[in-house]
Amino acid sequence: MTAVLTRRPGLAKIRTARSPLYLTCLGLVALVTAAALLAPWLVPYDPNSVDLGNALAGPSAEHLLGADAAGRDTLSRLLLGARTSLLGPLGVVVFSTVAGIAVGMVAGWRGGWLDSVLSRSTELVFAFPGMLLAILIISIYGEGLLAPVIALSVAYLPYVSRLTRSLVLAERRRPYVSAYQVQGHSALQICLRHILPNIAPVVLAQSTINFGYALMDLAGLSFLGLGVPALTPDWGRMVFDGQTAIQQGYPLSAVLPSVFIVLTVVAFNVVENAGPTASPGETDDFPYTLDVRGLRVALPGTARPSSTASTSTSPPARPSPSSASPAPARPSPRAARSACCPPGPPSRAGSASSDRTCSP
Amino acid sequence: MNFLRFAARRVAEMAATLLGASFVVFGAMYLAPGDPASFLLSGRSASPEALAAINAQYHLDDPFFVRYLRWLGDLAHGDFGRSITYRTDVSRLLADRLPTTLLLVVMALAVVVVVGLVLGWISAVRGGATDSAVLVGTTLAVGTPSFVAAVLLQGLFAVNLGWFPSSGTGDGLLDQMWHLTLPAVALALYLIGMLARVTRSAMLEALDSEHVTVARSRGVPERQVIRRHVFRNSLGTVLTTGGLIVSTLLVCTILVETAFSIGGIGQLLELSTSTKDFPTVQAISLIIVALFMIVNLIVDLLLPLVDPRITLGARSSSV
Repeated sequence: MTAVLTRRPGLAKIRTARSPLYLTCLGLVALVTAAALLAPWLVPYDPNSVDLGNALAGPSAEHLLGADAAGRDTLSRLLLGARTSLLGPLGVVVFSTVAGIAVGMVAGWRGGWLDSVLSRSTELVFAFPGMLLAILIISIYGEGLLAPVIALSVAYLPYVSRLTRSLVLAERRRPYVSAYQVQGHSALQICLRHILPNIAPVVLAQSTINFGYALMDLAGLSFLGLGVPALTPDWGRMVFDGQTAIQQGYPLSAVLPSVFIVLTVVAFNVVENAGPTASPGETDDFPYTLDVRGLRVALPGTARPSSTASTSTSPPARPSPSSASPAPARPSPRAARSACCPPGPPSRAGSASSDRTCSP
Repeated sequence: MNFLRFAARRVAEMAATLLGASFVVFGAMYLAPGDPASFLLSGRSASPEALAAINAQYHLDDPFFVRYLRWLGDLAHGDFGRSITYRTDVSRLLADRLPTTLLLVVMALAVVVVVGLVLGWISAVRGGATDSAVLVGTTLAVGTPSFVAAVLLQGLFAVNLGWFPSSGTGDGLLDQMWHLTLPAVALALYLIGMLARVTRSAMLEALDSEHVTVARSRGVPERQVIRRHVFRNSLGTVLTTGGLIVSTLLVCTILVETAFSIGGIGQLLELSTSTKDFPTVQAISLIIVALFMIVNLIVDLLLPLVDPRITLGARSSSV
């Protein structure tokens, strides 16, 4: 048990470091998202209209960014491609977060055999890299966007569920949970209405990091021709289409989607890493009034080993790719501690700003 | 003795997970709509002979678990079944292609380890502008999927400059390495960024610790402090990424081998997925998962030797 006296920022006050790099990336994210949303009204040409007379044309007044080997307008394909390229990762993040929280909560709350079963299957999923699982599913259900999105969600689920489980285990030991239990609240109600809001910032910070990975994996699958259907514009697919052009000495139609993929992934990574960090103790944004961390007072036998602290079969948590602060691959002692003892004590939903609690 | 018990325990755990993985790979076939025989033959002429051959090969008349155990027994004998597309044994297809892929992975691994560690080291020790440059570079690197790197490198160094061949594998070891240089760099780029970041943050953490201050105050030369106290201490953290690095390399060979048309198991996996050659997909998936687990096992066994602070007792109690 850790005694921390603090104001909780809660979900409403997600505060971030506002460096120029962060602002640039935020602008880029906004731009790409806007392009994806408005694409149908922005595109100058039908993305699939073939015009062989314009094949591999360079930038001109007609085709601002040139045309590909089939004479299809690159700008139109890039804009419409943003939709599939962003929608897929979004689906992966949403699904893996919802399912991961559910699994992690059940494992952390119920414990016992259910916990061991879920932990074992987590280890099993860790053994399958996301892309391999997606390919396995695609080889069964055929090409398309849905199968890889589901497969990647399953592959990313353990990262969320493992964190949720350790956070729930820590929250359970806090007095407010016992208080609600004594008052006769059901387990479901306590989990959803009281524990979930308290652990949500940390879990969301972890799960949004998966967006960039999902984008790269899905683009890779499209590059292999296993992702989106053939005629749907998609950045990964455009790189594949442009590869023959590049070999003929016309790099533009492959370089543009490549640049879009890299910039989008980098921008999302930077923005997500600047969000609420998983180890808030390191930032000044977290207004501790009193923070006593080194002092651990525990009854022998009550402490349960948490799976984040174990180092054996499971691979290390993915290192945050672009945080300005050092991000160790494995939870460092500091990160592990703050993962077990999430920032600050709980507050009732709705009274986050003035709530001060001290857990002995 | 303690170490032996720990090792035996880890080997048993790995075997259990591997068994689970084989069950997933085998059972995946039964997720498909329709009966297994028509799924395995999907898109191909289902002549009675072909159906009979499939039935005999997969023992489709037996109950599920008998089938699974037989399949497992065949695997243990090195029999991965027959490829439906190529009409030969999968094990032969693999034997032809595995050396190329392994050479590619080893080359990429060497690049990752050398460049990643050096970049992380320099970034942590020098700080300042060097650190910023490395951070920007690694931020770009971890945002670049290996297929994008492959296509761009191919365009620049193979087509434009003509320094390297743009595709194929070549004959003889030196020629092969010549052909695999660009693919290995493309494969390594993302992981260089990742490893450099991990090394940097682990070394910064070690630099922060009191024993480094003590060593400096006692007049130990700075180079020795960095080597013996800082790098040595961060080695454990760096080593834990080993499993992730190898599994990422193996998976990304699918993309890179396809981009450079290299006849390895990655390209075979891509081809067999698009032609629905399920026995081949099963075999390659299982090999990738098994290699990943073996590397993780080696890392786990090496870890207590590299970092004695990780005591065996603490590890086994946390499992």
